[in-house]
Amino acid sequence: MPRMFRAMKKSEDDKPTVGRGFCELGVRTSEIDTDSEGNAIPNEKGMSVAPHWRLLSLFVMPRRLVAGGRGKNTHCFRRGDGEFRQEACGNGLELVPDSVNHGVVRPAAAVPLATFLQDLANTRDEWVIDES
Amino acid sequence: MPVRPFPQSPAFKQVVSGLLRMHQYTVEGQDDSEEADALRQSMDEPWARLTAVERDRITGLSEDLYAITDPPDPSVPLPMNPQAQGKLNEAYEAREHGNWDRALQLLRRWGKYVPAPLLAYVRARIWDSAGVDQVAVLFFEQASRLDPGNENFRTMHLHALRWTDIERAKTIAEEVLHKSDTHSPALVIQAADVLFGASGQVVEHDAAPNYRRLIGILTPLLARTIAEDDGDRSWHVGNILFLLAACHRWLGDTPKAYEYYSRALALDPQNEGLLISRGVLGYGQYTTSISDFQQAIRLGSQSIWPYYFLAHDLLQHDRMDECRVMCVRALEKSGPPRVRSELHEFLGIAVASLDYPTLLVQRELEEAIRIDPSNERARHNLQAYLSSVEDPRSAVSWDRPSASQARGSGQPQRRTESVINKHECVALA
Repeated sequence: MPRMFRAMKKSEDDKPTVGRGFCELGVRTSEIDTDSEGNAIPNEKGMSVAPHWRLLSLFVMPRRLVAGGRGKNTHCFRRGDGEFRQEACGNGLELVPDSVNHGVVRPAAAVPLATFLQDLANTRDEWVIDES
Repeated sequence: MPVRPFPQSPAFKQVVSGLLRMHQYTVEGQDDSEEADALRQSMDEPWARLTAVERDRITGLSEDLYAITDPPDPSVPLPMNPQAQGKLNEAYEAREHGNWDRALQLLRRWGKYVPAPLLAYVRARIWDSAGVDQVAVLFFEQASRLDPGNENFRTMHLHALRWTDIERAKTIAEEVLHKSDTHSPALVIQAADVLFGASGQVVEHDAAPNYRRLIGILTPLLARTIAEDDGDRSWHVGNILFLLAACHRWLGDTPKAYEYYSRALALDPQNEGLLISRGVLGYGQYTTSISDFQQAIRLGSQSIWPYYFLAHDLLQHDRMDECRVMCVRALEKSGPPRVRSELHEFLGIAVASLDYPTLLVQRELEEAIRIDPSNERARHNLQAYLSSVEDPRSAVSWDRPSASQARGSGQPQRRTESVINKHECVALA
């Protein structure tokens, strides 16, 4: 599975907070497109990730990691250990890099939005804080 | 210090703009808001398009911006030591060579040995030289806030605001002008220039009270400045004279304006702006105009005006080949549509008189009409020319603008032009 990083808020068990808010494990409304039947569709949108935490946007990075960081209450989480390339990354999920610095996790096929969100939530235990 | 702008890719501009909005949220205590989070999310995509150098530059800027919003560190400045002095010298040299990133990095690391207002000011100067005015203005403001008694800082802050937030600049300028006798000449001159520029945005009739008010402020300032024994006196006097001349000019008092321009030129004979201003003012009335324009061109002027007026003068004197060359040189500069239209018209007349092919003449006159469809004279000249082509026995009776009509061309644009040269102001402070 590709190695990917994402800045997220953490819950008490040091795992990412699941939800549709900013910096949570999930997607905000503007981060995913749905078809007329309410299915999340696989296009260029999805949950933002990067191949290394140092490549995450300054705007989500906590200041304790980067002096200019503008993130609030975020932590850098890692999942997977493989190469950052287009590949399945969990049940019903696919990583699609859109540059060397960034990619999105999207549904592998059109599925109800709730299913896509659940597929993302199901990865929760695989994310570990890695700010090394 | 060289002026060497940072390359500004669309992603760089987008992220800097986002960072400045985020900084504003922090200033307002709104960086936990939904709007701030939406902004953070919107930066994902442009951030990924930045180069590594741009990412480092913006990360450093973000760190420096925290110096504006964080509580002041009471331990700063630390006592100077040889190592810090060496590093600060290195930063100074990097800045002198236009190596902005290096200078900013060194200041980030060693700036705690420098008084905070001075550090903010140096950062502002670097961003100003790097061509990012909206960042420079924040650090000029910080310097000015931390050391309110330093009028050089205030002058530079006001100058930067003029290009980034004219309404705020006008408010500050009004405060300064209200008590002009208590401020330094440089700050009053800057404030007067802001008001002068703003006056250029309204019709002449409405601007007249402002020009009269400025004359009322600048005249005693001139006397005060001449009386003061200040190293920058000649710069101050020159700019006061320039502003006084411009105010009198737009009030229609040509002799007074001419006198002030001449006094300013006596102090600074190589000042291109002064040469052009006096040249335009006196065109068709004072014999010095032509030599003023010629001198401005010799100085390498990039303004369209000296070329335009010399082209017109050559046209009036039937020196058609020289007129043709001058029109071509003028059209290499940027200028308002009316003026560019007239230059094509002059060029058409010149090449017709030089017996150039009909198609070439016609093309120039048609271009004049295309650029400014309200140029009825060009339309008339085109008709007259085409009639003469059909009947070779009749000479063309060209309609040429008078000197006063030429002075009227582009006048609205000239009224809005700033008197104070940006880089001269920077050099002063």
